[in-house]
Amino acid sequence: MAADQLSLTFAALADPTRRAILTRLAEGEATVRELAEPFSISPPAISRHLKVLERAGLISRRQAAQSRPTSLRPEALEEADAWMVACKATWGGRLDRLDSHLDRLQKRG
Amino acid sequence: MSGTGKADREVQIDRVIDAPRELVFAAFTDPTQLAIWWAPEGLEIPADTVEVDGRVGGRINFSMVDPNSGQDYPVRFEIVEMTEPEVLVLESPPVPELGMPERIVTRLTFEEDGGRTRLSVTQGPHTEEMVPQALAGWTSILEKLDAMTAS
Repeated sequence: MAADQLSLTFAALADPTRRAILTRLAEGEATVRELAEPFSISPPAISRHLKVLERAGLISRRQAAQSRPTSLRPEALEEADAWMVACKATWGGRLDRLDSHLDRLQKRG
Repeated sequence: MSGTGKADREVQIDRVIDAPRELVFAAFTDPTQLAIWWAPEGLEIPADTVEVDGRVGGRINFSMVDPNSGQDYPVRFEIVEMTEPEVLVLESPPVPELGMPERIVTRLTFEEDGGRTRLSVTQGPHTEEMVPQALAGWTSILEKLDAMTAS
């Protein structure tokens, strides 16, 4: 995943309405009208959120007769997840070295 | 660091270090010490590249160098919060080539524990307020997906 793509994913996830939309989509495909129902916001506002999610690669939209049903793309979430795991590994190794460094420091002192 | 689920998806690392917290805190702000342990395996920090201006609004800057290729990876932190020896919050600009595509906030807390130190590292992109939200976001969504695919 390109670096700026990951930034888009994080930015898209930082909004509560968009997270609610993704949670709804985890249950299955939905149309804009269906997505708008549980929220007190208009279908055009939902469409704007969907554009952000689509740019982040978090959803895909297919062309149907009158609507564009939206579905979740879990791959983008998994990429974000993998990045977090890598961060954790880096810090794990770093703290091992900090630990041995302080150990040596104290023995010397 | 074991188990599955939520904890695996948060970048929070807790470690008990067998040293008083003044000593652990100093290892982060003393240029000589930082150069010894910060760099990941395979990279080195030349001591003369380390600059520390240890105050809020100050900086911690250094270079990590790959001794084989000579490739230089500059590291830049701004100190956004500092209460010695309890809290240190660092913010770094994006470094895409090091796998850090977004502004990173690193929060370090040092807790006294009978002569030892309970060090907690929380790291994430965006502002501190946004991190827990984003984490809660994908954690719950991924958990839901897991549940859906398992059933």
